[in-house]
Amino acid sequence: MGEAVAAEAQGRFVPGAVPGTVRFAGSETSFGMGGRLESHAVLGDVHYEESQAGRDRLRFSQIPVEHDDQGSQFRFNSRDSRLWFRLQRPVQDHDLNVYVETEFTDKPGTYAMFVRHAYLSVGPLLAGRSYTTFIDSAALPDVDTGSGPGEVFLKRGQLRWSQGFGNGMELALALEESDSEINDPVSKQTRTIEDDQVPTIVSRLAWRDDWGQFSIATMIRKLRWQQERTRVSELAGAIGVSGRLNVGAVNNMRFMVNYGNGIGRFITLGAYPDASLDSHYSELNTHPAFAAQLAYQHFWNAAWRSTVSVGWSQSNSPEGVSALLTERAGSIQANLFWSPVAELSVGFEYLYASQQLRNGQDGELNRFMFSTRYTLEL
Amino acid sequence: MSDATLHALMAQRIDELYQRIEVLAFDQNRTLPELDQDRRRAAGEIASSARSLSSLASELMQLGESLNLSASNRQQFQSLAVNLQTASNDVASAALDAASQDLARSVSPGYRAAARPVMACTVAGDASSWFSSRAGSLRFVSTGHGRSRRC
Repeated sequence: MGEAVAAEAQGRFVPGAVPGTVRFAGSETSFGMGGRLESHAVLGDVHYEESQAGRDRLRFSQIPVEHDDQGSQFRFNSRDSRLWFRLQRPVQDHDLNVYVETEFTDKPGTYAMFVRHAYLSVGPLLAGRSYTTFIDSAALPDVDTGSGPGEVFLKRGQLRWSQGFGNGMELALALEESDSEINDPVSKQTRTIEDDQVPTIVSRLAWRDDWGQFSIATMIRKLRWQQERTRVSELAGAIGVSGRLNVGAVNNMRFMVNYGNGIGRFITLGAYPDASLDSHYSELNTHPAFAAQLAYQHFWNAAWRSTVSVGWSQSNSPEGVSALLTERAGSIQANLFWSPVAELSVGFEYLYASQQLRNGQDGELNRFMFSTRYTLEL
Repeated sequence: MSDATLHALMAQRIDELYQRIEVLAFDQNRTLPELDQDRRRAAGEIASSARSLSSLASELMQLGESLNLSASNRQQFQSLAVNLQTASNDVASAALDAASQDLARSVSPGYRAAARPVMACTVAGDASSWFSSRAGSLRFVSTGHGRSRRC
């Protein structure tokens, strides 16, 4: 009890007391491992010429438009199955967390394991790969068919400092890796360019109280492209507000609104580039984009819950870029999940998604998904 | 606001915090250290509310002397107030020890049994609670909507 009181007074964990962890005998270190097995049966529209990833996940740029080879398909996949490990121990007056989470991602005919999160945190300092600090992870909707177009969803290497001020207020400042998505005027393709020389600077100010949480995030980044002796760069930025508002004890409303000329890579699952080069490769033009997502989660009772999520985004491209770039995207997702025990979720989700290209062509898809998920912690 | 109303609201607040801790189990986006942080934060709030509830129970015991109650009702009132204080202290201890969703399993039945009747003395009906964790699972339970009980 004395140990617990001291830890509580300092806002720290008690070794071995955190769910899903065991304490190594004779040490202050707790170890935890777990995972989840997730299976999906999906009936829905696909673009036959596009990759498997676009058939199993929501990829807005792969939504078939007029004249595309498209049709419906029934598919099974076990994407989003995960495995995680963690270590925790007190270090002087701080908590030390080491966390690695992997995910099984579909490859043709098999699955590959990818790192979702791999970070270490000591007190206010976090170093490693995790969600960008621009994301408010508490505002991400509880949906299974994929992230909506209004969601900021990106993981990056980073160095983050989080400082609480009491009364539920916290400021996070981060330096993050800064790859750019640049559209090439000749090939018309968008490529990930890793020529950046300075990190992205991200800040998030969050308030947390009985009503939920609300946060404001800003980002400044330098987009850069380099080839042989030609080098061009452009400063870009973005601002976002997001939050989770409690509706009663357990229901909640989650929202995100983001705008900026450097968030193409952060939203709509990479459908928009951050910038494009002009035809002389002498100038880098940013693409201002707007994205918004609104979701409501309702618990019908302790075992049944639903989420309805609506999202929309738009990117304004300068003249001269490929007419086949996505200009707008939207989605509606609705689900019903049954969890007789916290570890198990079984349910249906419906997805409607659409995109419009710069040339005016548009397309849409409908998908129905039955999913089962079992989570196990040590 | 009377002490009784205040402690009824506080008991409801503890219930809500329990429910929020248990709902974290359905959060598939945040990493486990982030969820642990939320659980610890909510557990700290539960402990703080329970301690306030315990001190209010003390005031309730003193208040019992000045109420116009029959001898047997006064004795029952005092007994329930003592139960409430004991249960509140248990909740505070468990919240500090466990700081996790498991605390609902460890203290919830005793806490609810002790807290409800005293609240019903002065409040019409009691708060409902969907989320009760038993043997690690979530279950829908009724705590008697709109029920009143004489002291």
